Amino acid sequence: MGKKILIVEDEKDIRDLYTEVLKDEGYEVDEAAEGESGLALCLSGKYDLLLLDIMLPKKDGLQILREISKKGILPKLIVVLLTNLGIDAIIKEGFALGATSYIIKTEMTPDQVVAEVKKVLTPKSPVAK
Amino acid sequence: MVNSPQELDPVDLLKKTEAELKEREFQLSSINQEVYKKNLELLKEKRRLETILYNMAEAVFVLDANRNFTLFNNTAQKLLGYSEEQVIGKNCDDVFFLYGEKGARILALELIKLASDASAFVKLDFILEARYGKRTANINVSQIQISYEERLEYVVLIKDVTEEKMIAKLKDELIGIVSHELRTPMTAVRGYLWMMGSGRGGELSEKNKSYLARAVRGTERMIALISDILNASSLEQGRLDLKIEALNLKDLILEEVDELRARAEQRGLSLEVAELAGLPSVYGDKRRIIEVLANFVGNSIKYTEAGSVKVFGQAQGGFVKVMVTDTGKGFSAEDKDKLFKKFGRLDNSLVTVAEASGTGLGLYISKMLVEKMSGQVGAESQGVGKGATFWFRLPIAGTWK
Repeated sequence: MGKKILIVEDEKDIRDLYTEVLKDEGYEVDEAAEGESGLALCLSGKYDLLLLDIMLPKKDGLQILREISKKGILPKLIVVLLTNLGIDAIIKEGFALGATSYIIKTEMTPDQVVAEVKKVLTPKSPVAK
Repeated sequence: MVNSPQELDPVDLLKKTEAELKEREFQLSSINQEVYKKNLELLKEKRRLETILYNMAEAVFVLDANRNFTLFNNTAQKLLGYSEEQVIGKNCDDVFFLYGEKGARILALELIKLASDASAFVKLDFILEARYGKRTANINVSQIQISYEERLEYVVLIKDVTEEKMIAKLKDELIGIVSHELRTPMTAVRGYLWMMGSGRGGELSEKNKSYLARAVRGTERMIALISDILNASSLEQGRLDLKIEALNLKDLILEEVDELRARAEQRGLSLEVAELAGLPSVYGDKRRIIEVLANFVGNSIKYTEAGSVKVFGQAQGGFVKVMVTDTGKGFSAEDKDKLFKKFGRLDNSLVTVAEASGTGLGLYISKMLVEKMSGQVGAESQGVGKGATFWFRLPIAGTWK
């Protein structure tokens, strides 16, 4: 059974690109093109990973992050920020709100995005008791 | 025969005295005229200087040792909203408020202390609040003493930079937005070129593969350029947070050299590291030092056709100097000054930005980064074709407990 990934990204070309390579890796992928429907899907609680763009119509990425973190969904849902801003302050805020990692979109090829997704979805080795 | 002393007739004597008196009178009146003329000239000169002082573009006022106003020019009156009569003799802390970068109030005494610490001259940006609200002000304070007996006075010069700052901020925001808008389509271009190259859409002919490789190179250069413009712009705006800590340069150099080794080997170059043991720690921002190292070593690899690239470091007068020496293209003496400039193309050194497929901003950014970390950069070459050494130095960290 593949892990479930939600991509919230307003640029269709980029959304399609990531969806294609991730589906090829055997992940189940859903998409949202703007913040509000993205948030609604997040709240369904059925995803393992959220690829979240920061600049989005209707509701931006940090707002979504704030709301899902309030609803207590975060420990189960891993969040990777998608950004092209490269502004340290925004990334820092994202981390403070519970994001695990971030991807600067222009700087990564699709295989590198897949590698990052695999990395964050690999459970950390349990601490020996 | 003896000559008797000449005796003058009393009438003659009177005439002579009269003539002398006339002569004196004439002299006196011409001295008087001269004094009058000089006075007039002085007055004119004083008026001229006052007119210049009172109407210059900068606000100027003078404070005595108790920080009370003794002079207040027209521009100061416009900027602060008070007439000279209203403020003369008043303490300047009662007339306007100054705030530092973090919003803390700064009293005139502190401003003057800053001025005297900087020996004669200090130039700083403050928020200035007077009758007309808050303005961003660039302030200069200089101490003056007309003669030994007289006490020190302080000449304060204020330039209203509110508009300049606003324009700089807008420019900064604009560059940020434009860069972001450029990056979005570039992400798609790069992503789909990669998809094509991965063979997902079917096998490519050799010819198409080589076309594709060129498109990928161009795309990557474009992306690097956008990112460098963004970086250079934040550096210029002073909008870059540095995390300064004591760092061991040896580890950073070894790490970065390992990262770049494959690239050097691909070009058939040897990449060596030497003389790093026992280097003292320096103060700097880890991420930024790595950026500078990557830029220097990367350049050396790029501009060297055959031979080697060596990295070594040494402690030298309070600094650790890191040198990157190559056997590459080098540069001419005339081009030395252009190296660290923005888009500094080298006319006399065969190497052009386009040829090297760089952004033309790498060394410029490196220089700014190192200087932000209180260090320096430099470069030497024996001439075109004779290799080059690029170096940077950073201050040695103090002893930590």
